[in-house]
Amino acid sequence: MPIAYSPGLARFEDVCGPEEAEAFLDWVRSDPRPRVDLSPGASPHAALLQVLLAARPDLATPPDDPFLAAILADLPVSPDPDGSAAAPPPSPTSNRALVS
Amino acid sequence: MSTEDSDLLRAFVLESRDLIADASESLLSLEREPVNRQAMQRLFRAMHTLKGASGLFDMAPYTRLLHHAEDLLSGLEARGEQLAPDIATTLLECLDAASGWTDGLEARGALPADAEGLAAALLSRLAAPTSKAAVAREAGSAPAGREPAWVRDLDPASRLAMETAAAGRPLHCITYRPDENAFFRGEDPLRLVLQVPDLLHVKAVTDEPWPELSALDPFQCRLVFQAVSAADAGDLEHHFRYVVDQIAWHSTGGPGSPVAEEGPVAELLDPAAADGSAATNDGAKAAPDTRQARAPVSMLRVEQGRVDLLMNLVGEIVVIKNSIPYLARRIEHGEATPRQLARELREREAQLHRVAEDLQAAIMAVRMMPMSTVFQRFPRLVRDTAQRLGKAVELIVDGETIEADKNVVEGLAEPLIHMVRNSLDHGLEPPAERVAAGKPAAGRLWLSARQDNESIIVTLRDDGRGIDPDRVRARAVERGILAPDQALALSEADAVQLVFAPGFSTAEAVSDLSGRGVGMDAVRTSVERMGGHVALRSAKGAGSTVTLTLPLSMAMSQIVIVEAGGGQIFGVPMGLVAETLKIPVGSLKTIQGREAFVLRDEVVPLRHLNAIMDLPAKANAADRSILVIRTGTELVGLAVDRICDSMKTIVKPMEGPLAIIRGFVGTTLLGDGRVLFVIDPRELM
Repeated sequence: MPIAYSPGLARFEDVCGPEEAEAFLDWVRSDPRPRVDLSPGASPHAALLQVLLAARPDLATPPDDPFLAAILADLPVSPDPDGSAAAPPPSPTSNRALVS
Repeated sequence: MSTEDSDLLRAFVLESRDLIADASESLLSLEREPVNRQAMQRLFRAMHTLKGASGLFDMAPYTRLLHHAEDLLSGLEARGEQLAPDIATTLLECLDAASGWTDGLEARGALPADAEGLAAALLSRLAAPTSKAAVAREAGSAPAGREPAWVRDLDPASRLAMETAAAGRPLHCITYRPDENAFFRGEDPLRLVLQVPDLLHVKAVTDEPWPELSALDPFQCRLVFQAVSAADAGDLEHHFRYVVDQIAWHSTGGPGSPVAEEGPVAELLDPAAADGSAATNDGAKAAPDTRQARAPVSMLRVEQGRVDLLMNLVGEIVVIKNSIPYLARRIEHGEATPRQLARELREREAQLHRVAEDLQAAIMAVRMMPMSTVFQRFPRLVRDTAQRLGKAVELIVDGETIEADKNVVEGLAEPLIHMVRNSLDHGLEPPAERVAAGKPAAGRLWLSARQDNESIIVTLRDDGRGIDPDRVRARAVERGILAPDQALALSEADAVQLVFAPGFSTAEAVSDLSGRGVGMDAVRTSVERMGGHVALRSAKGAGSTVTLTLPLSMAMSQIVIVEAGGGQIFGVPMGLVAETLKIPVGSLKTIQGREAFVLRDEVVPLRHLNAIMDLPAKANAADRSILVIRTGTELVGLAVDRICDSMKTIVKPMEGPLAIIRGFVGTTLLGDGRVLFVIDPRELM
């Protein structure tokens, strides 16, 4: 799976195609503090870029491609997800519990 | 080139020919009816598809030319303007160029060496209206000749950094506005932008702010990319070759000296700016040229249903085949009487016979092509030729849907072109002469096809001046084809037929269109080679009609089997046999020392097959069996020992060392395995 979702973090790996866009948009909309990790070598499709630009989630790190980084320059970078580094197994209920 | 690539190229060659034909046809209807919106749309679609398809291959001139032709059309459409005649002519020339390049692609897998030059010449003629269209299209975002706003707004520090990085090379500022539906076409605009060569700056923006996430459609592309690159103009052009229409482009010269250039069109047209592209194209061309030239592959496109039918028939054959081992076992075990077995064998034969007939019909259907494949080129040919001759001509085509064997249809193209040119050149008068003769100023040319039993009849009729029998007689004498008294003895209808004589041409001056002294003679030769014949009727002042009668199919032919030389058998193509006769020896006449007989008040010379083939003559018989053979417009009798039978068969032409033997059409196998020679009596006599 090119995008690995866990509460509060979506990790892009390798080539992420346009077919991921819908799921990613849903995740960004439902997650209260969405943060995106563009791991080195991750290459999002323009459809995903649109969601990134429209939703402006935090970035874990700037992407390693300087030009992709330039395009995403307006997105805030937050290396640490409010202290809780390791995310528990994903489940909608636990997700909500964490926030409340 | 890998196999898939060459398959793809072959498919492109086929498809592009259809598209070019379609576009030409639409252009011609637009010329007649400039307000025909449907034709405009068809033309636009054809050009668009052609451009898109050409983009799959590395052939920049092809794609570029069509791109600008398409641009020009969309500009006209947007401004609600009509197609001017000179633009139509230029567009037709573009299609000609594309057509020529397609042939080059098929033969050598690459565009011809002069493609770049030809494209540049045509582009410069398309340019004037195009740049207007381009301006109209890009108004609002990047007016041509001025920097787009985002370039001016670049932060001076980063601008300086870019100019430093460019080290004196011109900077190209590109605004890339991907099509809304780009994602559905499998494009990834982001990747395309990130891979721009020598990229110095990139930014993604939108025309309108992003909507609420709940209203965001991630699959509709709203991105606009702004990029600056120091790469070569040609490289950039190549990089964006599939999305040329979505790019606006501005170039600045060296540091601090912005040079205004005119948007994408000027960039492409300016030879200096295009230097780079020429270089890349040279590189691309060099590789394919080293490949050996391939002979064009003759392709056949077949309706799916026809192939399915073949498949079913193959299934039936397999069923019949499977019943044979069973029959063999029964014979082995002596389970049935010979009589029963013979009956069963005959049953199988009957089944096989039916399937074989069906298979034959099915495979013939596969080879059938509509006449439109050859007719479709004529509207264009007539238009161009008439224009060149200063004549007005209306072409009326009928029977395009009639189907005939592929070889017949393809073989018709050349004689028909000759005939049409002849009619335009010699037949139809200039408008003034027509009006003086009380005819409408525009000449009319009817081209039609119809089916008649096993033949296809193609007729070309014009309402021109017709053929003057006196002039034809005079010319035939002048050319030494006939003696003056022979010429005078000919009836008017017969005199007209002299135009088919080899080396005859009535045109006063040899024009560049026809009248090279090959005209109608060449027509007759090529039609007869296909097993057909030509007839010409003409009325002075009222026009001429040329009728070509051709076999529907050349794959199967009907032959008459005759016996000669005491028991040897030969085949004669049925198409050449006008009739068969039995004449008492007493009724034969001798005229000027040669045998002849009278058939319906006409004297027909008689030749003996035995004498021609140097076979022993038949012992005296009371009467002669005669095949009346049609040779051109004349009849000749061919005496044989016996006329046996007729059969439908596939005649194989002579091959290898035998191919040089004249007088034979080919050979076929008889049911008992004997080889039957099929003679061509016209060559023998």
